[in-house]
Amino acid sequence: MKLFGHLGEEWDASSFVARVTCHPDLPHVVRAHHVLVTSTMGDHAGFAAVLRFAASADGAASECSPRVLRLEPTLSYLTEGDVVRIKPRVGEIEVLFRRQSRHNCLVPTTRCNVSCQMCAQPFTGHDSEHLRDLMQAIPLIDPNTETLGISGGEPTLLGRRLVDLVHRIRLFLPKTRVEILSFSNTFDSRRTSPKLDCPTSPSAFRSMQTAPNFTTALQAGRARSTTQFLACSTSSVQECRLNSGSSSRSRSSLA
Amino acid sequence: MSYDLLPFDFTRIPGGTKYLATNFAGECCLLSRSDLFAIVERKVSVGTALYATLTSKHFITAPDSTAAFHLLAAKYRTRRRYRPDLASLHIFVVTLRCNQSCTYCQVSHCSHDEPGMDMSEATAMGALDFAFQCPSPAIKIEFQGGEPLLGFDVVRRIVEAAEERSQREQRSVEFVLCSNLYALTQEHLDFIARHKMAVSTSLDGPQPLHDQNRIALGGASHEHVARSIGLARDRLGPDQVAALMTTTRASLGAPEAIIDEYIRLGFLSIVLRPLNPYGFAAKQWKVLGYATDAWLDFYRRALTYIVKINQQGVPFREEFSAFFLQRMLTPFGDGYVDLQSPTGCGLNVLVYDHDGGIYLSDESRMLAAMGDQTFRFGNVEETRFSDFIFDPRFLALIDETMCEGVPECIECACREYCGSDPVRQYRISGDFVGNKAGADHCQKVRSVVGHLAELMDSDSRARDVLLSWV
Amino acid sequence: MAAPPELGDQDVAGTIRIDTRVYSLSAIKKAAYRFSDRFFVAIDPDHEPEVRVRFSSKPGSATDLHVAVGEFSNELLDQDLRERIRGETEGVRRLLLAHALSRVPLIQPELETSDYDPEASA
Repeated sequence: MKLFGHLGEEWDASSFVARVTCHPDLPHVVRAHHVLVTSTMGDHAGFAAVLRFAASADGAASECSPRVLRLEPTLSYLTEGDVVRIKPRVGEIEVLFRRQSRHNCLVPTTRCNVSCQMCAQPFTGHDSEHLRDLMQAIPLIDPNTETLGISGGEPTLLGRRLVDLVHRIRLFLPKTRVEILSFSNTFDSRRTSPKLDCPTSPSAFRSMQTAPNFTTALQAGRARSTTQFLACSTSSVQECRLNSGSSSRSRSSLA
Repeated sequence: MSYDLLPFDFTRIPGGTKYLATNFAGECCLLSRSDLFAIVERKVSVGTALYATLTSKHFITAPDSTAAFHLLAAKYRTRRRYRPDLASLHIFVVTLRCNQSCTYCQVSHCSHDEPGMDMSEATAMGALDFAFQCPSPAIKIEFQGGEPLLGFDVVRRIVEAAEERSQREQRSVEFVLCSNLYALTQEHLDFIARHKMAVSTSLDGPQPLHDQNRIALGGASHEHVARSIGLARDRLGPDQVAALMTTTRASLGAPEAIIDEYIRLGFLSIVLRPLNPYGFAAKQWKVLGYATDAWLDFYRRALTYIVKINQQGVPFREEFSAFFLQRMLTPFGDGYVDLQSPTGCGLNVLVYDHDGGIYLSDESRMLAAMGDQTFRFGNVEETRFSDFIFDPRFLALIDETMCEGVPECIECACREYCGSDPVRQYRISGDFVGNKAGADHCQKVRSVVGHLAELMDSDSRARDVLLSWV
Repeated sequence: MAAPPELGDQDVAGTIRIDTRVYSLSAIKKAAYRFSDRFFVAIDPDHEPEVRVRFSSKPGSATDLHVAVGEFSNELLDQDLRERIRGETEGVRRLLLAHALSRVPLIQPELETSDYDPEASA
């Protein structure tokens, strides 16, 4: 299943995120955060963009507001509640979240400090825009989502910004369980582990020396959901499960 | 084979021909008058849809079956199971000072800099002491005023003391700040976030409507509250920030615009509640007030719009309806103070005024500010909880006003969805019970419940939306 | 001293005569109560076994009297029906109340307490 596609045109604007809707008469007040997927023409004023399954974009139509963009048939699965990221300067669309899937995973960075031969997501270059867009995408995600993964690259390389992302998920998606997939080698190195400032206790500076400390920082704040930290290395596997209100406990298990 | 009747009540839905019928535990169905006669005359045949509905909803039962009996008793008990815990909502009026002068204000307040209007430390601790004498294992402390942000030092003190005490006594305590958010600062937000407090503010609608009702000393109250709401949502999370709306005459013509404004500011729910003629609202009733029918039209129009936008993918809830739906469709109780029998005044909620006076409800405090101490029950310095809860005046009040014993209420089909409010009744008629014939309150409840029942019966898409709120 | 006020025939806007062998006195009173917001209602015995229900309009009330009298008749039917239901179910209702409000477990005792721990019985 393809999670990205081409839009058939490029224009000079920053990337933005939006929720997918199929309702052309959505109340105007929420249209700015939505893209309309439709096969019909009409007055779609107010939407962030209109995505049409047409053989080619109507050249005249894409000049007016909102922009009408061509949607490739490989993305025909897009439906109500999905969240997409549109990158105008390269004319691409990326699917960040599919409401009907049970395995959604956010990729805040593709940077990695390991180079595995079997890696399915090798580092592709400058990616600092991912996190900003993901932070904006979080409120658009269905709050009934059961689980949301965070992967990469190596997400812990983001340090404090990873904590911010997890907290934002906790704020807007309190029922959602967060699973962070990490190689965890950053935990062992005093030299490379960044210091984490726990947002709700400014006095508590913790270094990412062991997985429990890192997860304590993640747990800070209003922890009503569960964050599971899955760490795997070639030598051992540690699984730290965080439950709201209780101290973290770790046990060994094989990946 | 004939069937046995189980206890049920029926009431005609205002403005219609159908009857709402409810069983002993409060489950309902819609019936025509001929249905009602047929049921009593034993003319409902086995195998018909009506027979199936009536047996499954425990209106009738086969003579040799006891399942319905046990289920009805269990549901009746379930709805009332938390009442013995007594008051779980404790309102602390930390200051009377306010920085706004809302046209319909129903609480006592004074100017923002008047001295001597804050709750003292001793009073605050005394009130906390009183609150913790309540047996409820879970306590919710709500800060009100005036404007509690102006008395935030008192708020801080109470929060810290309550947390320490609740840890010691192994009880849970939650905090809600009811504030106009006009003077919200980052420092306030830091404290609120650190102690996981929820925030409840007022939003009457788009800027012209909001500013017309809610006049701030520095003006632009809508601009301030909109900005503060954004800050609070980002810091605390959307489900820790709620807004309440007050419906005035000016609101009646624009329900869609009000709902759109709520959505624009990120809310996914609203409470459509009518304005009560208390406090300043009573004085301004000629300008602000409206008849029950006008409010009902507003409510129905707003609900239609909300159902429509739900069908378009915006999961917006209407909480007043959701409350009734929960009572109609589930046997679970709730803590909604205004609609409890025996009354929620004093049994679900207690109010501690800035001077330590103990009141049964917000309205009781307003009455006292106007010179009538009928619903003041001592003060936190002298009164022990056990004195209060066994005060013969209080017990008489509860006893006299229970819906299960009051004319009209005893046979009303909406009884399980309704409740008694002796304070409101006292304001209207001077006695605690009042004459229910033609009462506005009864018309409102019956119309709202009837409307929801008919909507669920006739419109399957609307029913899906309404069910999603339960 | 002036005579105390009386509901004279000249004040009465409408009268209904009801046979108490058809509708009980309590049903008549309950039906009358429902109109007490819009009308003054007086109930008197009148040529046993009938009673006379007299309505007089309250100032400011806009209700049409013919409609009200018709509604009263319908309300009587409803009250009568309620009495029949109550009569048949009063015993069960008392039992239900006693059972519901007693401390006796109703279905499964272990499910009745709020500290029920599903893992404890495992």
